[in-house]
Amino acid sequence: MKRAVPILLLTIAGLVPLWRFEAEPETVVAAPEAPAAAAPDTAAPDVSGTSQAPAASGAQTVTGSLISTKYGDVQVRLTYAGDQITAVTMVKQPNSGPTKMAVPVLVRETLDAQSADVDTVSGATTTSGAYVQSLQAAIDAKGD
Amino acid sequence: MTTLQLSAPVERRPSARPGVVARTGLFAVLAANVLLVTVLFFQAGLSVNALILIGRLAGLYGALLMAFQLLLVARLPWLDRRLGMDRLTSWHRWIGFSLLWTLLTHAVFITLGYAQVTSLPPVDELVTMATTIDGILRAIVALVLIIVVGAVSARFARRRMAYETWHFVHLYTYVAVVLAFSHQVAVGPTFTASAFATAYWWGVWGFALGAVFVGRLGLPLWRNLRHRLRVAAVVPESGNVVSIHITGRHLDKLPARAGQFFLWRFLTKDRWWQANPFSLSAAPDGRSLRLTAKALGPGSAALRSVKVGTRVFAEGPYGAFTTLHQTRPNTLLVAGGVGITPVRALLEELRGHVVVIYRVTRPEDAVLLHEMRGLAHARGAVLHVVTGPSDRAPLGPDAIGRAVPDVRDRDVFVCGPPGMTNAVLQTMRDLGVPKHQVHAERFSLAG
Repeated sequence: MKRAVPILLLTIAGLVPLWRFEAEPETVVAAPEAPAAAAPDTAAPDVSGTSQAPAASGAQTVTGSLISTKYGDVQVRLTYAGDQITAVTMVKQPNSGPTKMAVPVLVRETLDAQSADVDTVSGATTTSGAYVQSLQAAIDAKGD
Repeated sequence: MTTLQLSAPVERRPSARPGVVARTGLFAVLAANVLLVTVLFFQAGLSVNALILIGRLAGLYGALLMAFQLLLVARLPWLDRRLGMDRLTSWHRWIGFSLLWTLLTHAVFITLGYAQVTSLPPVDELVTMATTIDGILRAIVALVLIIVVGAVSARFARRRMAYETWHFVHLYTYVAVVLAFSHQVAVGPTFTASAFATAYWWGVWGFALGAVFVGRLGLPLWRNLRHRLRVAAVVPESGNVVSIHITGRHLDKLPARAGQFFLWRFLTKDRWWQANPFSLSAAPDGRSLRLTAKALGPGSAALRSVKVGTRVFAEGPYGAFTTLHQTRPNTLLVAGGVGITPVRALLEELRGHVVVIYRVTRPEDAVLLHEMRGLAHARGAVLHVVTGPSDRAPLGPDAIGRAVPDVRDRDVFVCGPPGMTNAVLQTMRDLGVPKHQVHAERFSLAG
C-alpha cells in the first residue's frame, strides 16, 4: 500500500504528457516538375484554384486549393489535354501510410471519372475528403 | 424458527433455469454485436491492402471484447445472482487472453500493412505512425499496459503475487481502456464512417463503462451509505476461525440470500484497503449479518483483533450459490472445512428434505458443528460428519451412493477447497446426477 502512492503519482506524471502529446503531421511537397509552369505556384496558396495558361503544346496544368487536415496538407495538380484530365500530381500530401495507400486509388478513380465524383478510401477518410475538395477547386478553376 | 419455516410461502420457480437464461442472454448479446460490427466493417469500405484489412477487423473485435470484459466484471446483481462471480471471473480470464492475442494481431497486421504500402521497414513505419498520426502513441501505450496485465495474470506469475498487488496492476486496464477508446475515436475508419457507427461505438463503450461504474462503485457506495454496517460482535469459533456479527440500518432492505458472500473491508487505519471475500454463515434475518472466516491469508488472521464498533464497507451480496438455482425439492449439501459457512446459511433457507455431508480433516476443525446439529435437528435434516485425512473415498461414488441413495433426484450444493470440490463433482458425474442439479462455488477471488 505504501508503494501505491508513488506509483500512482508516477502514472499520472506519465499519462499527462501522453494525453497532451499531439502528433505532428508531416507533409510531403512534390518537387516542381515543369519549372516554367510551376513558378507562379510558389506564391501563398490560394483558396480557389489557379490555372496556368496553355503552353504551346495545348497541355494545361491546374492547381487545386490547399486543404489542411490534421494529418497534413493536401493539394492536387491536374494536367489537362483539352478537356481531358490526363494526370493527377500531388503537390502536397500527408506523409502517412493511410495517405500513401489511398492516393493511387484516388488518382485512378479521378482519371476514370474525369470529375470530382470519387469514392472515399476506407482508412483514409480525411485525406480522401481533402483530396476531393482540392480536386473540385482545380476542376472549377479550369472551367473559368 | 421452525414455525416460520413451515408457514413460509413456497417460492415459485421460473420455468427456465436462471443460469441458462443469463448465459444464453449474455452470449446472444455478444454474438449480435459481433455481427453488427462485421456489417459496419464492410459498410465502411474495404481497404486496398489485405494486411490492413485483417488488422482493422481484429481491432474492432478487440474493442468489442474489451467492452464485454468490462460487462463480465461489472458485478451487476442480475448477472451475478444467476451465473456467480466465480464463473463470470473464469470467463473473464479466458476472454482476457483471447483479447490480448486479438489486440496483438491488430497492431502487428496494421503495422505490416502500412509498412507494405509505404515500403518502410515495419519498425520505422510504427515510429512514423506514432509521431505523425494522432492517437497511435496512446494505442501503443494501451497495448503495452494490456500485455503487462496479461503477463501478471499468467498462472506462474499470479501464484507468486499477493492478490492486492495483482489487483493494483490489473486496475491499469482501465487506463488502457480509456487510451484505446480515444485511439478508436481518433483514427478508426469504421468509427467515423457513418453517424450510426459513431453512435453505436459510443453506446457500446458508454454501456460497458457505465455498467462497471454502477456495479463496482455506485451500487456499493449507495448500499453502504444506506446500511452503515458496523461490527457488533467478534466470536472465536476455533483456533483459527472467527465469526463476526454485523449490524446496520434497514438490513431488511438488503437483498442478500443464504449462500451468498460479500467482499468485506474493515475500515481501520491499516487494513481499509484490503477486501476479503467471506460467505454469510447465517441466513440474513433482516437485522444482522454474520460472516465466519478462517485464517488463510494475513488479512483473515487479523480479523480476530477487529474491535466491536468498527465501520465495515461491504460490496455485495454476490454469488449464485443460492436456492434460486434449486431444481428439485430435496437437497444434498457437501461442505469441506470452512466451506461450511454458506452451507450452514443454506440449510436455514432450504425447503424439502436435506442431507448434509461435512468433511473435515480433524474433528476439532468442524467449526459451527454445534449449530449444524441444532439446525439439522430442527429441520429434520440428516447430518454426516466425515473426518480423516484427504482422500477421495469418503466422498466417492460408493460412499455417497450408500449415504444418499436418491442423490440423482436431489440438488447438490458443494462448497470447499478446490481439491475436495473437484472430487465431489467427479463423484456426481460418476453417479449420473444431472449437471444442472450440481452447484459448486469456487471459493477464491479473481486471478
